[in-house]
Amino acid sequence: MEDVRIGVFVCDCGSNIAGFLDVPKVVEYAKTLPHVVFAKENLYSCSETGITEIKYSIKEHALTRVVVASCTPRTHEPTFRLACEEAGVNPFYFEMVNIREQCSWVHMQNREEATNKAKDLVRIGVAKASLLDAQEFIVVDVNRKALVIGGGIAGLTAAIALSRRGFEVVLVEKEKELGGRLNDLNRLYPYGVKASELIGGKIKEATSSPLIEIHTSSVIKSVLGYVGNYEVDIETGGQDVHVSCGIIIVATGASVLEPKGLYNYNGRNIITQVELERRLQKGKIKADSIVVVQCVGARTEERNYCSRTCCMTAIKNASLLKEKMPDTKVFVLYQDMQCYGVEGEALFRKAKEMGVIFINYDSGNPPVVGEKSVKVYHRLMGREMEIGYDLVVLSTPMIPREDTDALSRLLRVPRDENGFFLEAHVKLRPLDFATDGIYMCGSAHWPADTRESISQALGAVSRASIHLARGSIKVDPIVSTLADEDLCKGCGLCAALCPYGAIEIIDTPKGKKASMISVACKGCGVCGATCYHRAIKMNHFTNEQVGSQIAAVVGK
Amino acid sequence: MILDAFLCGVDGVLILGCKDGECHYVTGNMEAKNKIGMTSRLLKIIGIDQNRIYFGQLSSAEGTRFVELVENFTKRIKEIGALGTEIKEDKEELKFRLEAAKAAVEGEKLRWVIGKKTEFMGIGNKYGEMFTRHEMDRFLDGLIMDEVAVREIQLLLQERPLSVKQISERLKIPSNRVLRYIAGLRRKGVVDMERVDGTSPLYRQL
Repeated sequence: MEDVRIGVFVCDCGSNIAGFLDVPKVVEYAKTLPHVVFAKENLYSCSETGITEIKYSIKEHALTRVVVASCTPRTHEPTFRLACEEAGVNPFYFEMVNIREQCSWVHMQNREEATNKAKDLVRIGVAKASLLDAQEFIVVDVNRKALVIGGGIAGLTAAIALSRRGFEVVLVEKEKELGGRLNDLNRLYPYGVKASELIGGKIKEATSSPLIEIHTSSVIKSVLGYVGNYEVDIETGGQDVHVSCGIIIVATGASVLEPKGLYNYNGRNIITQVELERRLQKGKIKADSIVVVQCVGARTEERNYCSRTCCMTAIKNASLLKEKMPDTKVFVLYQDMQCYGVEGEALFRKAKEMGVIFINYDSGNPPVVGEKSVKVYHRLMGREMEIGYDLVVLSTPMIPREDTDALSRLLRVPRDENGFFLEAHVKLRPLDFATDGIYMCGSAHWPADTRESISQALGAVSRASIHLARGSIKVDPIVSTLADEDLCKGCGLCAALCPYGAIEIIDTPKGKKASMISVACKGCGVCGATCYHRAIKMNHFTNEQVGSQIAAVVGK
Repeated sequence: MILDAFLCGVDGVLILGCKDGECHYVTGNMEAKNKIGMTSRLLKIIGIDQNRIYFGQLSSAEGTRFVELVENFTKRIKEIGALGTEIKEDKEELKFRLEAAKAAVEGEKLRWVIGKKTEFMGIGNKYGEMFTRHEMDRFLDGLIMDEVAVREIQLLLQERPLSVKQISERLKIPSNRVLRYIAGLRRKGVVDMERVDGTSPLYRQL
């Protein structure tokens, strides 16, 4: 058997780890573990210096396995694997131990116990490392066609950007018309561009592009496959259309809350911002006094998030009204004004200069809309006011579309606690889903204004283009394999239980045998845990490797 | 793996997974739930407190619930005590029973039944017969009991040839049941008669 020489690197993560547990002690302990020939403390293992140190030590001490005890593998496992590869060690001879999220950050109050737990975790990691196998990445071809779901501003922008890069796009829209929410809007902040002009231009470009295939009144029926090779069935006007594509962009947008039962909403003289926009489009509004109420049905117990865009919408529309009818009084009743960005702040100031009156109210004591007047307790003046009105405008939040649940199941992607689609990482992968090859942009993710939707769409296109332009993908070989063909009796239980249809039973000269479709396998392990002949091996999580970790939990 | 952990000497195994329908691997948590449920029944049958295994379901955003589950489980295991306190015999007996249980879960029968459990209870079997939860549980208990007994007999016969009477006394199983298991094992060609001692035949593992 080959000589297993393990190197252990324990990261301080500045003070994130070293501040709460005794790193030098963990290093000393690691040196006593079987097969460990070298152990070292790094200030930041993931930094240029840390990586250089790891690579240098691999050469210097002829290491054949590397263990890094630091943060979550989600962030830096690829970094360290690459370092191993560059230093001549197979990237799958690397094992990562999490002593930050799963140790120092949760045991900040107890340095000694945290140190002991870190030692345990390192011991478990080293046990597995000594049994690791070398693996080669699986390479798959990418279908260079893209699918964009949603034909609003985000989806159209994405489709156009992809087509300009020379990729074929299939655009699917649920409604009869393209355009989405912008069809209902009048003018857009900050520069007062007409929504119809912006969206009209996009629709024109998309419909005239030879690379964009558009399906309106269409819904996604089923999604199979994996990054690079998705097979999607679409129902379009009673007909089924099949699309093969390499990546999917979700741009399904959001709905706007209808304030049923709130503030005496009636759709006549007590309306929503969207209804106001439609009236402004037509240009017919007559009123001497207009009261706008913010945070209607938002930031409540049921819907505790801020929809972000409604403050700027209110400021924009209040200014437009004031511009058209300088003698009309416009009041905006708010909790907090959310006017982020340089232009937002400037528009807020301009609205005040134009004479829009902003009144601060407390969420515990909201305004009351009566038949002729609105009563509000002015928090800054400390007294109740009564304002007569001809028109009340309610600013309601964006809410997830009803069908996001169904779509999330089809795509097997998660949603957050409010029902919006959830990104893979809030800072590192804000436009990706955790599933490779699926991206998101616009309000499907979180209430976004037009500008943000456009930039997110361009961002998602840029992310997706990496796969499309390369034309092939390297997939982690952490998949199930038929390790021993002779043991397999072709019983088919594994194939019956595989949730991805990644196992086929095929005829071989030796009889019926299981056959794995590696690129479709997600490495869940159901087949391996089911095979009673032990013919199936889960790469990187073998019975022996996991067994050694369990034994290491107890064996000090 | 769970039984391996008990064989390593741990006192409890807590497994946490996502909520129903939220599995990253589509149906993985359901499979896990079925398997863990069966292993827990198995513990009960070999005389070990089945609460030593717990499958908790929560989302990754529920920090407080995580703490609650871990603390409750730790408390529960402390109450039950060290592994083996519920068995009056020695450590060897504990190991013997766990080994038999492990062989049972690794066997063909239990893996097929558990693999098909969701289907049996949701769509029905090949003949369209649906199983209720109660029927399924009763069926499983019977099956597990048989499987464990068979594995125990095999373990005993590996060491030395024994008669039905001796096995029956050692395992505290009625001799008619032992005879039935032996007959089954002989049919499979795993066990055979070694010699006749007085009037009773002795069997051995092949």
